[in-house]
Formats: sequence, structure tokens, C-alpha cells
Amino acid sequence: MKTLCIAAALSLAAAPLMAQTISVDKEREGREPKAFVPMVGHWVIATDEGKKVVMVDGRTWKRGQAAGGLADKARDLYGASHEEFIDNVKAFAYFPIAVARDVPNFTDGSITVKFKMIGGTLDRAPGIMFNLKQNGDWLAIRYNGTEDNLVLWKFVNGARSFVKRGSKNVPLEMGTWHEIKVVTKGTAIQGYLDGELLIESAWTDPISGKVGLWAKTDTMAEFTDFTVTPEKKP
Amino acid sequence: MMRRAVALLIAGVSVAGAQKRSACATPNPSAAWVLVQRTTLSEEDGAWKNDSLRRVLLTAAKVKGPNVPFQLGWELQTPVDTTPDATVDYLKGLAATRGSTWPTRSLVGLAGVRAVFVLAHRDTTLARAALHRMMESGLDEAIKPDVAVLEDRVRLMSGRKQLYGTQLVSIDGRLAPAAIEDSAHVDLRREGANLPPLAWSVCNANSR
Repeated sequence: MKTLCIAAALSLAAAPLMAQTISVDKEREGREPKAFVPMVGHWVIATDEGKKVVMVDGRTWKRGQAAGGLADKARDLYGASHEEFIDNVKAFAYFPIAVARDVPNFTDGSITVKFKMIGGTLDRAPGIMFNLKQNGDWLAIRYNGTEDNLVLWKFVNGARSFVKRGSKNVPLEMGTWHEIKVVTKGTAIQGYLDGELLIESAWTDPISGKVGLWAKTDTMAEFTDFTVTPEKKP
Repeated sequence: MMRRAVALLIAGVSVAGAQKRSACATPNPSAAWVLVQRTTLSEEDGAWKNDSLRRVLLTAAKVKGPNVPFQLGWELQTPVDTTPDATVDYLKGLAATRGSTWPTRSLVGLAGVRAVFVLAHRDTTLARAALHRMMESGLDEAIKPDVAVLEDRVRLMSGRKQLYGTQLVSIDGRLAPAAIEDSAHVDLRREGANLPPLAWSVCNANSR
């Protein structure tokens, strides 16, 4: 019944506004991305077959490693009320995240990103972060190449916990491009892998917050074509 | 010769670029991977909580401590030794028990974790379970290069390609990596796992 309600709610999301694809084409290779603000982990612009992409490079990952200039970046994103965000991120800097600078608030609609797993000894988990709050809470749908699954996770009050696992495992080859899509409407959440619906869930409150790229510990992965498509309000 | 060349090309290693034996018979003390492993594979005597379990593991695996030898990034694809072993059975029991305490670095020290890695080679079920537990235990509790080697072994057992090129097979009397998935990034992955470059490991293996 719950699934039916989620499906019905999301079926209304058929009238998208203009899609916003975040480009890093003009950014410099080897530098931190500007379009995505790294808060945790080591994020750089890389080139893959002539195209600029964002890479999370877990080779140098260490536990509790916030990105450089965290305070300035948090202030840039959240203004005067950034300190709680910093405290939360520092307290549990286990998941590399990079926030999309030019998406002030995402509510209903879809977010897609193409990803390519390159490496990671303990984790190979790239994903989409959404519902990022000023206190550092977030939701994320990620693929995990060590478990072959798509999972919705929550991070609330400094603790991460599992919300919903994809309906089946899907092994993906390293070094190949794939796509994650998150669709939200109100509290309803859907997660897709390569166009296949694998997760249907619901959150406690309507989705609202910043969005960005997500990874876990020593993941090495590339991201491109991060696209946000808000739903047209009736 | 042709088969060996093909195997090396599959692994992303050019025959022309292969190092001379003398350059790879022993690790270069200033190589980046040596420096990292030297730092991460040493520990203070007694820096573990369960010494009795550690001694059992070390005895069963014939591993000495406190420091452990470098992980050279290669091993031969050998059949599993199925000789019954009480310690292997104990570890399998631990792995099958939800909530059980797995022997991590803080519990049994680095040599204890290396011993688990060695014992995991004696049983395919234990290999899979140990890999999962090692990955789950995190950066400070596992030996990254060993995790990479064990993952390659488990992937080949499952009919998948390896990721790090650590599993070598003999082709026309020379050792070469079994097939590698995404060979273009193999040395990036090896660097992330604190392993030597693939060409060095293959050369080292063939120098013995």
C-alpha cells in the first residue's frame, strides 16, 4: 500500500522545469572543483577521454578528513549559520561529499549523475547526496561496488543508518559509465540504477535541501552530467 | 611467447617496459609503496587486546610478529589446501555468527591480521567471509594490501576478473597476471591499496 502511494505521488512528477546540468568544462584539471564545493575528502577535476569530470580520489583518504578551507566553504554555503554544519561534518567526516554550489534548494523533481568506479580497497561507493541541511544531516542514494547494490542511507545527528536497499543486486564493471537517478515528490523517494527502478521509500518530512556528490572512505570514482530537474509546481 | 605477450598486454603491462630482474629482485627502500608499507606494517609490541587469540592465529598460520613482511603484490594461483584445521574452523564459526568479534588489528595486532589473511587461503568460504569482515573493519583495522590480494583471489574463485592483478598464472614458464577488470586503472588501484606497481610485482615474481 505504501509503495502504491509512493508510486502514485511520483507519477505526478511528469511536468519538469528546465533541467540544470552542472558543467565543469571550464575548470582546471588537477584543481578542486568550483561547481561542487568539497566539504569532506579529496575531490579534483580530471579528464576522461577528453571530457572534464569530477573525481573523488580516495587514495589519500584518512579517517575524519574534512576538506581544506571547510569553514570558509560552509560560510559560503550557509552564511552566518554554518557552525553547526562544520561541527557535524568534523564529528563524522567518514563520507566524502561535494555540494553543488548553484543549487540553493532542491525539493521535488529528479537528480541524475553518471559515475565510473575506478578503485577503492575498502569501499567503492559513489552516489548522490540530497536533502542536505544546515546542521549537516543528509540523505544519499549510492551504488556500492563491493556489495553490488543500490541503497538509500540517512545521516542524522552525526549518525549514518540504513533506510532502504535496492530490490536486487546489480554487479557493475569497474571503468564503465553508469547512472544513478533520484526522484522525489514530497516525502516520496525513488532510486534508479541505469534506468531501472530499484528503491521506493519515504522520508519523514518533505525533501528540501542542498544536493551534491557523495562517496565513502577510500572510493575512487569519476562523476559527470550531474543534472537537477525540478518539478513544475501546479 | 605470444601467449605471454598477450597476457601481459591484458594486464596493461608492456613487454618492452618490463623491468630488468636486478631492478625488482628486492624492494627499493625509497619506493613510495615501501615507505607506506614500512609505516603501516609496524607496530608496538603488545598493542593488541587478545594475546591468546593472536598466538593461536600466528601458530596456525606460521606467521611471526610483531612486524609483518611487505606485501609484494603478487601470489600464485594455487589450489586451496583443504587439510582440516581447527583455527580455520574457528574463524569460519566466527564469520558465521552475527555480532561476533572479528580479529582486527586492535584485537590481535598486525601479525594476527596477517595470520587471518594467510589462513583465509585454506578455505574458500573463509576467504569470502574474511574479505567481507576486513573491508567492513575499516582503514585502521585491516591491512590494505592484503585486502586487495584477497579480493583478487575471491573474485577469481567466483569466476570474475581480478582488480589489482595480484593473482599470477604460469604461461610458457613465465608468470603473468590472470585477466584484470578495467586494466587501464590497475596501477591507480594498486597505489590506493599501498601495493607496488604491477610491472614491478610481475618482474619480482619472475625473478624468483
